[in-house]
Amino acid sequence: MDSEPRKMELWIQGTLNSWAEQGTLSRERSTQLHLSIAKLAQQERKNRLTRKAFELVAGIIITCIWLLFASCPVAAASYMSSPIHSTLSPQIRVVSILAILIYLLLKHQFQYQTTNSNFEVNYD
Amino acid sequence: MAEDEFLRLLKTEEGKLFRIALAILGNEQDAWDSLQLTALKAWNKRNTLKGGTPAFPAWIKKILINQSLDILKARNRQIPIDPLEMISIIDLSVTQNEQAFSIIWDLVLELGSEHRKVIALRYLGDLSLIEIASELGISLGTVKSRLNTAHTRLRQKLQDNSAKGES
Repeated sequence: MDSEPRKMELWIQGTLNSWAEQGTLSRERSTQLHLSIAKLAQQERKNRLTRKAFELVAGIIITCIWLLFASCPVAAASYMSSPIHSTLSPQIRVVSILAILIYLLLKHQFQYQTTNSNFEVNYD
Repeated sequence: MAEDEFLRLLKTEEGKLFRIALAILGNEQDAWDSLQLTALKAWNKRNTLKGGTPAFPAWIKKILINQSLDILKARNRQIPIDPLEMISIIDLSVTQNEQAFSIIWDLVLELGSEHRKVIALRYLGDLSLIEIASELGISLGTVKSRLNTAHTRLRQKLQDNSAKGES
C-alpha cells in the first residue's frame, strides 16, 4: 500500500497532468507555430534540391576529367597524339585543378552551412 | 518523419506543452518562446527520435523541459508571478477535478515562484530531486524542503476545505 506522502505526490501529479492535458493553444498561435515549421521544411527541400543539382554538376565535371586524363584509353590516346596537347595542356590542367578546388571548396562550404543551420541539441 | 506527420503530432501535444512551460516559467511570453524553440529543435532533430510516433510525446516534452530550463538559466532572474495571469491559467482549465487543481494552484501562488519551479519540474517535468537541484542550482535539501512545505501546506488546505464542507 502507498504511504500518505506517496499518495499525496500521486494526487498532485495526477491533478497537474490532467490540467496540462486540457491545454489548447489559440488558433492564431497554433497557426504561427505550424507556419514556422512549414518554412523550415520548405528551406530543407530547397537545400536538398540545390545539393542534388550541385552533385550532378560536380559529377559531370569529374567524369569529364576522368575521361580526359585517366581511364579512357581512346580519349587519352587521342588527346596525347593530338597537336593541341603540347600547346593547350598547361591551360587544361590549370582549369581542371581549379575546377576540382572550386568543387571541394563549395562542397565544404555547403556542408558547413547545412550543419550550422541545425540546432545542436543533446537530450540523451 | 514527414512534415504532415510531424505537424499532426505537434498539434496533439502543443496545448499540453504550452501549459507545462507556463507552469515552469510563470509567464505566457516565456512559455510561448519556449514552445516555439522546442518545436524548431524537434523538427531539426526529428530523425533522432527513437521509437517512432508513440515516443513523440515524451521526446518532445523532454526537449521542452530542457528548453524551459535553458530560458530560466539564461535570464537568471526572478520572474514575478502576476496573480492575474495565474488566475487566468486557472480559468483556462475545464477539468473534472478543477477544484483540486485550484487548491494546488492557490497554494503555488501563496508559496511563490521558487516553489512553483520545483513543483512544476517534479510533477509536470518528471525530473528527479537530484535533477531539479542540479538544474536550478540549489541543494538537494532545499528541493526536499520546498516539496515538503508544499505537501504540508496542501494537506492543511485539504483538511480546512473538508472541515468547511462538513460545517
